[in-house]
This record gives sequence, C-alpha cells and structure tokens, in this order.
Amino acid sequence: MKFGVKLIDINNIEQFTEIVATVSRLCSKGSCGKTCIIKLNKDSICFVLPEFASNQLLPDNPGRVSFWMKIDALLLFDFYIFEGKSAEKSTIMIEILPENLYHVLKSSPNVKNIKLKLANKQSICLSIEIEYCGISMKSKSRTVSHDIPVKIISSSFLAIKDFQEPNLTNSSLSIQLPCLKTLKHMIERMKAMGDFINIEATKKGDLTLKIQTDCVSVSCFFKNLPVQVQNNECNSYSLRLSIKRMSEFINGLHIKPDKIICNFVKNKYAHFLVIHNENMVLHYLISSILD
Amino acid sequence: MNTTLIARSNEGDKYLLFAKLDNAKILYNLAKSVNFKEHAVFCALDSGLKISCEDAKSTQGIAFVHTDLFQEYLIKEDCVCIKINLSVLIECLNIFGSIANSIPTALKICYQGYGHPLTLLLEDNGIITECNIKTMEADSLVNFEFDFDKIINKIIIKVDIPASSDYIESFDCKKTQVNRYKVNFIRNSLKALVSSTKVAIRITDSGVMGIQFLIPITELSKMAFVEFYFCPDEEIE
Repeated sequence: MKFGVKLIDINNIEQFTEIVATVSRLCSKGSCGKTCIIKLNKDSICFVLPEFASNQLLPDNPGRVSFWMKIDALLLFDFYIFEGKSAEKSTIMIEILPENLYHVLKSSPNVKNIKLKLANKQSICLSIEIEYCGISMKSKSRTVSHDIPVKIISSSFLAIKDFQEPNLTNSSLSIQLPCLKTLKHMIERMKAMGDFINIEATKKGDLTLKIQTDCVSVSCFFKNLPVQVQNNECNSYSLRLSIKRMSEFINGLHIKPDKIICNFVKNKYAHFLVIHNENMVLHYLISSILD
Repeated sequence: MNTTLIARSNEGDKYLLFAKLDNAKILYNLAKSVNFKEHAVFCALDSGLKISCEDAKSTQGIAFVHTDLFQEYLIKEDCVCIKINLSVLIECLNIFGSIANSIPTALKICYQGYGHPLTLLLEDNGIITECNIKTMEADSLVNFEFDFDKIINKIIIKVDIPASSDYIESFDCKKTQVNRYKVNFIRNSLKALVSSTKVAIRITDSGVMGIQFLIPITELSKMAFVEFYFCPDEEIE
C-alpha cells in the first residue's frame, strides 16, 4: 500500500487549507464526535460524512445532514501517489477528526512545502511534515512534523451506499442558488426570526425563500436563475428545512464556490452541489422536515 | 436607483399608511437606537413616523422619522398607532445587509388598517423581499409631560470631539438640582450616541430628564432626532 501527498505551490497549499477548513466546520456541527471519513483512491481523495453519523443528534436538531466532498488529487496536489493493497482493494477508508488536520495546516505563513503520508507509530497515523522557509535569507529551513491518529475502516464497508458518491437520480428540479454573500446574510437574519425555512423553485427559474412564524412572514424572491427540470410533473417544488442546518451549510463553506446548485428531491431532502474550481465537488444533503 | 421595480403611481390608494424610502438603512439605524425592548409602538402621524419604546413606565425612547426623509408619505388618518415586535422589524430592514458603496436597499411600507399586518417591501439589485409583521393594539404610553417651559437645566454637548475645540456647546443652569436615575435606563440611550453629532440634556423642575440626539442623514442633508425620557428614582427614606 502506498500513499503520499506533496504540496509545494502556495496556491495549492492555500486551497487545500480552505478545503480542510470547510470540512472541519461542516463536521463540527453535523457530526456526532465531529469525525469524518477520508476515502483514498488512485486519483481522488474524498471527505465523507455518512448520514448515519448524525443519527444520534439531539431531538432539537431537526434534519439530518450528510456530505461527500471529492477532490481531484492529481489536479490539486503537486505530487500524489496512491496504490491500494491489491487490485480488488484499491480504496482505503480512514476515520479522522478534520479539526486536527485543519489546526496543522493553518499553523503559520512561510510554508515551503507540505508532505502527507500514513505511518504506523504506536497506532496508525496521518503523518504531516511541514517545511518552513528560514526566517532570514541565510538561515536554514526547519521542519515540523505532526501525527494525527486515525482509524482504518474495514474495506467490507465499502459497498455500503453511505460511503459511495451520492447520485442525483432522484432529483426533480435543479436550480442554481444566488450569490453566496447575499444568501449568507439573508439566512442569518431569517435564523434570528424563525426555525424553519421553505425553499421553493419553479420551472421558470424563480426561487423563493420563506419563513413563517406567529409573528412575521418573510419571503425573498429571486428570479431568472439557471434551472434544469428532471421531473415535469409539477410546476414547482418546495422543501422545508431547518434554518439552523441551512445556516451551518452556508457558513461552513470556507471556499468561494463557482456555483451552488440545489437539487430538489421531493419530500425527502435538498441535495446541494457545490462546485469549486475544477478540482473540488461537494455534495451536501439536508433532509427535509414535513409540516 | 433601486426603485424601478417597486415604483408605481397611485399604489398608495388602498393603504391607510403608504411610505417609500430610498434607503432602508435610515429607518434601520433610527429604529435600532430605541430597541431596548422587544416591542414598540409604531405611530404614523401627519408629520412622520414615530417609534416609541417604553420600559417600566419610567423611561421611553422615541425615534422620529420626519416626512421630509421619505420619498413618498401618504396617510389617510391623523394618527395610526400599532404595536409591533421591533426586533423583528429591525431584522427585516436589514435582510439584505449592507455593502459599502453599493446602491442602497429601497423600502416601501404599507399598512391597510386594523387587523392587517404591517407590510415591508424591500428591494436590492432586482431581488424583492416581502415581510408581513403581525400588528397588535398599541399600549398607551406614559406621557412624560416634558414641559419645555419648566426646564431648569440644559446642556448641549458635541459628540464628535476634536482635540482643540470645546465640546460643551451650551450650559444653562437655573437652579442646582440633584436627581437619581437608573443607570440601565440611561445605558439604553447609548445606542443612539453612535450615529449622533450633538446631544441635548434637559431636566425639568420635577426631575424628568430628556436626552435628545441629533442624527444627521448625510445623503439627504437632513436631520433626524431620537429622544429618551427618564423619570427620577424616588428616594426611599
């Protein structure tokens, strides 16, 4: 089994750090124990939060979340190698606390390069070596190494749907969300006023965000958004989500996405697809609450 | 200008109160400065909008938005008063947030009358938000009987204090007076201090104190006022 990552280009380092920051924030709210799974493949790395991981959340946290983030390893990393144990076992899954990885990556400026590998030191660890530039022109660079304990997940779990890339076959309608900045602000204000948000999208590309409480009803109307219809049955589809969940998702995105698409799976969940540069795709699912 | 999608003539006809403001932030800042309690009395008068917040029947904060500051202001009765959740009104006015140097959010206020909600329509960059805030019957507010003829002490202070100038603009004391006021009440008035340029403190012979903040609305070259009244604490011997 071989696994090695090297990041040298400063943009790649920054991007990877932002990606890990996003995973860490999304896990801190959505996952019991704040852990997630990393799936390693020969050309990609996936951060996965399976749906059952939020099963035991307290009753006042309505709506389950799950996510799947796929990074094109050959595009993002300056050097990447992965070889599974055998042809059949060409994927490894490890469980990790992404917070720990984030703390290591955000450590300081003057990073020259970052190396990652798996090592067995007392227990299996994700070993990260960061080389820093010397403080002055003359001084030598220094290297700091971090070991984050991880748990290997048995490959017998691989076939389980929770660990596979979510598909969009159940989607009835897909609409591109408006600018993240506007959305972020709006959701925060709505969160101060109510608990549930109704998202409705029409075939024409109109999107309405609505909250309704005893005291007030607020509706925001967006028009002419790019839309794709998969199921022609209805003119519009709507989902009721917990505003808290929506806010955790929107505020957890530490990256500036190219676009966010909301796929409506009737009466079940909102399947958000976040596309960033050409090297990252995030599927984020929030289950809907029935009235 | 942001008013293209909302501007229509004769629209105000079916409303008891219909007002248009090119910049929702004006109302937002003034309303925020008196938001020391969740609910407030929202009054539409001939002269403008008055938002009054009261606590323990011994202190009141009043923000007044003169008709001058509105682009359009139509009212069918002399005085329309309702009670609303002020915190919710403020969240609604800020629904789009504020980005410096961008076109301000346009606001339309509509109220059909008793039993109807207070409707706010906000527009920013082609996006429209409609807020319907439940209205309740207005509580009667304490009349502080702040008799401007009975003022015995008055101080006007400049808020913006450059190093060289005197910051007390005027000081007028007719009689030495000692009064006690609840610090928490006075603290409520500090939110208004942030956007004001001058403060006038007046105390009547019965010890009722009125603090008036002058708030410039620079884009319209006009002024707005926010006032607070406090009853003195009775000393229990």
